[in-house]
Amino acid sequence: MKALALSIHRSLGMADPQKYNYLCFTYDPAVANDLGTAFTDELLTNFTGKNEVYYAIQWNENKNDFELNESGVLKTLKRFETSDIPTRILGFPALLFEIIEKNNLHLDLGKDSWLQTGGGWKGKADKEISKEAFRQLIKSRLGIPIEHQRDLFGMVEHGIPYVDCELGNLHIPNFSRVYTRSAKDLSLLPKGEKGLLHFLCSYNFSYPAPSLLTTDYGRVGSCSCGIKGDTLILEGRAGVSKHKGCALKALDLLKV
Amino acid sequence: MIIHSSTDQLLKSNPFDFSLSNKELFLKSFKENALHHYENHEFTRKLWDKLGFHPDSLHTEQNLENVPGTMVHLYKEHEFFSVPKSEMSLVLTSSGTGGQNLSSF
Repeated sequence: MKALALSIHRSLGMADPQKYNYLCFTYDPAVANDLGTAFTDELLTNFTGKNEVYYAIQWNENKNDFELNESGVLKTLKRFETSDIPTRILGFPALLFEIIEKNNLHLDLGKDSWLQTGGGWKGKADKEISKEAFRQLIKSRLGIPIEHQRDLFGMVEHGIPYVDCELGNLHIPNFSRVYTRSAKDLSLLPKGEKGLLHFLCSYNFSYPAPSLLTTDYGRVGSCSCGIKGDTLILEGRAGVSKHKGCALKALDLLKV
Repeated sequence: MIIHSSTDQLLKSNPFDFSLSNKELFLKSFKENALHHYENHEFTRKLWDKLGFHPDSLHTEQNLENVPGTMVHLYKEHEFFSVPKSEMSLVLTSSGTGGQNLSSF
């Protein structure tokens, strides 16, 4: 799985031997090492050289629960802003958006810095801004170039990372197939039509999910960035679903 | 150690090479994987038998569109696996499925 993720990120120009300071808006993998999102972040920090790595969601022994160390995040961002080493931020977009707005952040992390997001806006749908507006906001408030802002979509049941190119489109690798199906009768829809996402994956021999039908709506599209193949366009979760995504759970930790 | 030759070869290939030979490699890899789950996971076998699908029917890229999908909810409610637990190297759990037993092995 690690080799697969590295090869996808390398193809999208995201692996780099240069050292970065990392701010990860997720669980400290030393404590939460079986959580998919902590695993992803620890994995992603290994695609580049790394200097300091700060994990923002930490275990509080008194509360016996995880909590976001918001003051730690602010101090870390200010320290990284003045460092000669560029920054990479990994985390949930809604959480980062709230911290920027709540603390009226205006930083310049520099043209060599990156933002890698994942997990979507679930649970903060009322505050959700378009991907384009989010990318502009991150550029103006954190100084991270738009082409260095990359979103990732993944599900632990499926195990294939879909990662943004520099134009902000999630690319589908040849390690999977993505179809959309009618929510009424599950019939296959033509390419480009919105429907329930249906994923095929071939590498997992222990977990029997080679053909996974999800409760997420999406479309299969195309992109002009030059990377071959189709793109995945997410259109939100279908119906009223009880299960929470990783991002929604993380937002519970931000008491605002 | 079981050898999955097409899948091993696929994972070493360029992820964004969609030449005919590379697309065919995915088809072979998927067939290899689907056969493995069909032979080792009773639920998958019974479901596919009931729906009239067998991995041996996968001959072309278009055939892949007809593989029956399994609803994601099922994995949240049951612990499913196609190999003995002793052979698993990594277990990942979604952080968001509070109270639900979703794990990927």
